[in-house]
Amino acid sequence: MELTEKQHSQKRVFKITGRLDSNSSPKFETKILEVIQTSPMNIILDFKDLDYISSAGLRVVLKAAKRLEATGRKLSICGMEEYVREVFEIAGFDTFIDIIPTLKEALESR
Amino acid sequence: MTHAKLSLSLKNELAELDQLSASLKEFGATIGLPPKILFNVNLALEELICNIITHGYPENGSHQIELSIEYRDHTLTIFLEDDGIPFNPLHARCANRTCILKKRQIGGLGVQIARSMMDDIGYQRCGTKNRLILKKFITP
Repeated sequence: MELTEKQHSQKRVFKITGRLDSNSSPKFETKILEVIQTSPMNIILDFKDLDYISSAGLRVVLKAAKRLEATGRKLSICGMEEYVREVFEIAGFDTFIDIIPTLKEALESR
Repeated sequence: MTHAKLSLSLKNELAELDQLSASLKEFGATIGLPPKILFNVNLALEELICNIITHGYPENGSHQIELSIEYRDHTLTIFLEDDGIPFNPLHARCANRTCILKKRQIGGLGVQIARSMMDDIGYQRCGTKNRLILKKFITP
């Protein structure tokens, strides 16, 4: 799993490449929670090159979404591949996270 | 290929999940498994094995989890066996999908995902072992 983080138009964008599973999710958790703590911005997760996610990855997404909501901020996810999207729907996570087709649209949204 | 089998013995350590993925990918390539099925099976097994590793051995220790996958007649039949404490994931409470964000918990999600990914899951307690039998039908 590779993780890169950039700032684009007043938002922090995390791009995750590869797999978010039980082994790789802890690293993602540490990084995203640190950024949520230190930066006041909304966060976008770019899942365009994410091939796989398990409940370990969903756990981190949930934690991040809760922490952001507590400070009036938003989590959006863009570029979700079909199988990953299905997992989010099974988990019911599509009800509280903005799932947006492309990074461009995610950056343009409020 | 119309018939193939994979057998794996995994230690009760999360790091073994990488071995699981690699072996499944190789097996999938051998039998020409559609990518979506490979994804579903990998995810279901990760969730179930993760539960076994995390909750099955309150006294810790080193244990083996036995996995066998048979492909025949467009069906994958999977046996997953462990010697942990009795646990039937089919009786586990499912996560509340409709709860608002603030109240959402992650508990039960792994089992819920595993059940959604497979076409059939059965459980048996055989002596000191938990045994799960999973099936996935592959439409040609």
